[in-house]
Amino acid sequence: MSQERATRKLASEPDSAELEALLARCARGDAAALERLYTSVAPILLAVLMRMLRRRDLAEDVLQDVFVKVWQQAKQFDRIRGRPLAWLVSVARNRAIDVQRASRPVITLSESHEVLESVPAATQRIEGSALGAALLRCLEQIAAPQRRCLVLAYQEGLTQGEIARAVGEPLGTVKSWVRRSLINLRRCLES
Amino acid sequence: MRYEGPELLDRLAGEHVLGTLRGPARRRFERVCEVNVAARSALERWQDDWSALSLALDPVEPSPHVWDAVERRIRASAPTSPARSWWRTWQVGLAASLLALALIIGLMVREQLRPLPTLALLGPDSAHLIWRLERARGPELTSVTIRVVGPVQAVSGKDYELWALPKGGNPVSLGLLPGGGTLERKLTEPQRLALVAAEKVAVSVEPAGGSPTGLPTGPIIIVTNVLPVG
Repeated sequence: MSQERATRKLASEPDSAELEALLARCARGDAAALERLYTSVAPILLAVLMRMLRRRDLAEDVLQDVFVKVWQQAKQFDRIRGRPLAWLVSVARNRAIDVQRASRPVITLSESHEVLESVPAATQRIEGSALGAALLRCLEQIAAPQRRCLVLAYQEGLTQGEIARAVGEPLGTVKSWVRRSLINLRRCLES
Repeated sequence: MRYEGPELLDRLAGEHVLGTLRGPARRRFERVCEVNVAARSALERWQDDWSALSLALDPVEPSPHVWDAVERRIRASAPTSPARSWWRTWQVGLAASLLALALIIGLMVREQLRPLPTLALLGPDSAHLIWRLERARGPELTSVTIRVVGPVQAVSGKDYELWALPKGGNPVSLGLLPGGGTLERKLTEPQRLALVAAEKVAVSVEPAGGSPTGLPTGPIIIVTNVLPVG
């Protein structure tokens, strides 16, 4: 992960106020605004979806659904003003969770190894943003095996059963790790 | 499952965002978020926190056919430009009149559905609201609506009582707070005057049935400002 790439990534991060304005125009039925929104956030959402679904065709189908849904539900964004990208990411993730049960290939052990190796690289990339820095600081305070479970769940979209198989721990252990880590994470994020 | 307690709500919200809450439990929590402000704000907070990790991924450019399909689907629901024939024009005219009528009805309905002005938001902090105190429609403050918007921690043998704190005067009871749902309460003249003069309202824990003395006797758990009604 080079410094140059990090800079490029942060520079291309869409501006919240602009996304909000585009969503407001979508709510009024302005299709050109949806296209602008698509151009700026579809690549981010596709990256999220491909990590979770691990199949490009499936991820692109879901991406299509997500933008149709955003078009239909842009008005609903109104009540949660101020965090457009987090909202868009959660619309995409929720849709992926809905479809992944039926159609996602089961993760193999070698893939899960690859995934675990990629965690530090991914977290290194968010050091620049304030929001990311807080999350990173707090994730770092959680012991590595527990942190891996959280990242496998969020970024790879694994169920707790899949995580248990990937990290070679009993399901009960993974469940209580996740539970306790979330409580600790919240405490840390609030401090 | 009971959704009481901010810690449980926060953990369920965290598991929802993380994606480890699945199946019927996931649906159930989403329904709770529809009606419970504390649950929804916990969910949104976790979404904000975790979204940083999504931004850490290298963006992937979608294939061109994806946008084409989105565009087709959103255009399919929009009307196409009509061919100009006399009956077409007539149809468009009729549609316009119907639309105007629908708009008028819509505006009338919206007036009725418009949220009531909030007088106070009651909770230990702004992220954990429990009750919303609203002013009833109409020029005079003759009644208030109390809406439960978050989990009410039931304490056996105790009730929560609402007080108006008029500037320079004693607290005046505005009655007991409901444990669920929405309650409309007619105000007596002394209650109305106290609330109009109040800058703050408070909630105390009282013996079941309310304070026996007419003044708060138990611990005061919430004191909050009365919001200006614009």
